[in-house]
Amino acid sequence: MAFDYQTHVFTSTYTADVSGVCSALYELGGMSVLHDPSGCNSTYSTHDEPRWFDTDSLMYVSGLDEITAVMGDDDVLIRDVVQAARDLAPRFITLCGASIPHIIAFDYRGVAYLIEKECGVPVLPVATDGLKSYVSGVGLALTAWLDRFADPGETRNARPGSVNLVGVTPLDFSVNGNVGKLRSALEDAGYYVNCCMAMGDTFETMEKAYRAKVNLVVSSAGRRPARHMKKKGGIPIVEGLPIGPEQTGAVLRAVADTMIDGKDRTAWGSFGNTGRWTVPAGGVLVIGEEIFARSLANAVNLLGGAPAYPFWPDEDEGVPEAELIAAMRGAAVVVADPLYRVALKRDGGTRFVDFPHEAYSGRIYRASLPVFCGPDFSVRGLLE
Amino acid sequence: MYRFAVYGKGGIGKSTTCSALSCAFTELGLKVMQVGCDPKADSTLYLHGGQRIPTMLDVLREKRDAATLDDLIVTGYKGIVCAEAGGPTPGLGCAGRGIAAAFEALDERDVFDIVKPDLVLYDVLGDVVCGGFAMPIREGYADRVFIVTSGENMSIYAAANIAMAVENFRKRGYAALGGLILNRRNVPDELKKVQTLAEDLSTEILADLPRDDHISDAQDGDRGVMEAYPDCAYAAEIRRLAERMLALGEDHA
Repeated sequence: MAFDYQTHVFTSTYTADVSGVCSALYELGGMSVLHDPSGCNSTYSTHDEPRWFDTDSLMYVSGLDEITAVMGDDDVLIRDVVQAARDLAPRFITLCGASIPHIIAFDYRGVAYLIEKECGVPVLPVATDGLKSYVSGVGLALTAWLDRFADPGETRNARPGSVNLVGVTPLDFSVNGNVGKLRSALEDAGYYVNCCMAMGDTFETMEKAYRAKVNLVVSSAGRRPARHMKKKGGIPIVEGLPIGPEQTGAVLRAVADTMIDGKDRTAWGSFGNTGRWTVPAGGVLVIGEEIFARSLANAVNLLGGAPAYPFWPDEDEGVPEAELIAAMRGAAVVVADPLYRVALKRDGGTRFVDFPHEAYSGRIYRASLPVFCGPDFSVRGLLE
Repeated sequence: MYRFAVYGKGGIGKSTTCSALSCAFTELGLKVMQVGCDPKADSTLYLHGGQRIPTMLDVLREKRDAATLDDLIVTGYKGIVCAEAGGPTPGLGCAGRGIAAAFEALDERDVFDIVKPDLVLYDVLGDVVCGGFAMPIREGYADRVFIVTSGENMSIYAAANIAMAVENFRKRGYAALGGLILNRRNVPDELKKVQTLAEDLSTEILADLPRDDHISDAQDGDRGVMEAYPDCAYAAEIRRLAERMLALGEDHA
């Protein structure tokens, strides 16, 4: 069945693909150019980017206006970007955009080619449309970056036990210590974290991204680049997020098994694999980004007790509200961003556990974002 | 894989030319895919008995991401793989964006890796009026553009406008103009007028297609001219044109 559920009556929307692009490439020394009148840029900087106020990065908006769009005057953008590149000398330029360039079929690839030819700086065309979620944008941006700058031949230099963490941005992990916990969960088990895409790493370490035996995809935003690296370099993929001691163990076992047999796998059991939007009543409902939701649900299930079920948004369409209401009101416990709380009746029997998510509620609950990665997080404590 | 796009003024005979060319390329042993890029969705009509096929945009409207590649393409006469972009309700929506959406849908489904055509032919609506209708000559879809024209003034103006767009895109590393295809309407001084155009555009006339009643006779029987009258003068000139296009094109691995 094809869903058409684009009207959001009471749910918020996950941040758009353009924010995903900017977030993914923020720390790599490039200049990100949003081709857009300007709204997406301020949404990104003021709501979606916790590094904005203490870490410099070159983020620009083209200031596209109606007559420039209608007349197809690409020269305006080309001239501005070339000038900015000459002034600021970025390592690379990323050209993405929101819905207006998409609707006029703006030629990302051709304009990128012209800018690069004129100023000599590599330009990555990332054809976002402002209609999909950040999951798409992060994936497209990392894939474009790897395709241009990372050498698949580096797989021959991968040391034993080396792992990449793929799909790491503040939109899913914030800047509150989660990334450090994520790294140490692997390092404490004896693995070498080759690259964390893309927080805490540099252009130079990212260039050697193929020096890994396994790509651990820790958010669904990491799927596209991981699949690209599998196609180009044959690196196998494990999907899963270490949340709490039991799920950390599951992730580490999956990584260990894949190190040995080279097969792709996920670090969650088959339990809870119900219909995408159909969830049995009476359980623990975990709402959020897919790999997070599946991993946390698995972590709950590993504890025993009430069964847990994941519920995650579609990359294009978000969540269908009718199915969401049914799932939430039928659940004994809902773990989700606080903005989902409005779906519950005041006198209903469902207990709601706040689990803020930057990509959903932006900066509103930033101060109370949990440090959930690694074995130190108590899933049992979360539910108590 | 050869990658050709055919442009020209509306009603000038692009679809007839493209369908005949697809048959001629097939006769040369090539696996051909023909993509119609016109909201009228009639490019490939006579490659499947005059029956309309579902357009890509209609399928995407109904099935969204659940649409498979098999939903978007149809195999027609002589195994030619046919796809029609289609378009919005006349007077509504955005036809150019529709073309781009249809191309993206084919890309997302790895059409060329799966179908593995030896040659893809894009049949594109009259004029390059916006970014969407330029898609076939952008981003590596086609690398040679051929323009169908008669000696009529409006057709020549349209051809000059299309050539300007091709030149603009060539600076971006895209397709180059392959040449003109004269499709005769038997107006006075027809060859001379189109020769002048070719000189102005620094290109050449690759074929001189005669006005031939066999074409309409074949279509009245819901068949293409190459199928119904393979030995007519038009068919012979189409075969010569196909060989010239291959000589100008590049076979991308």
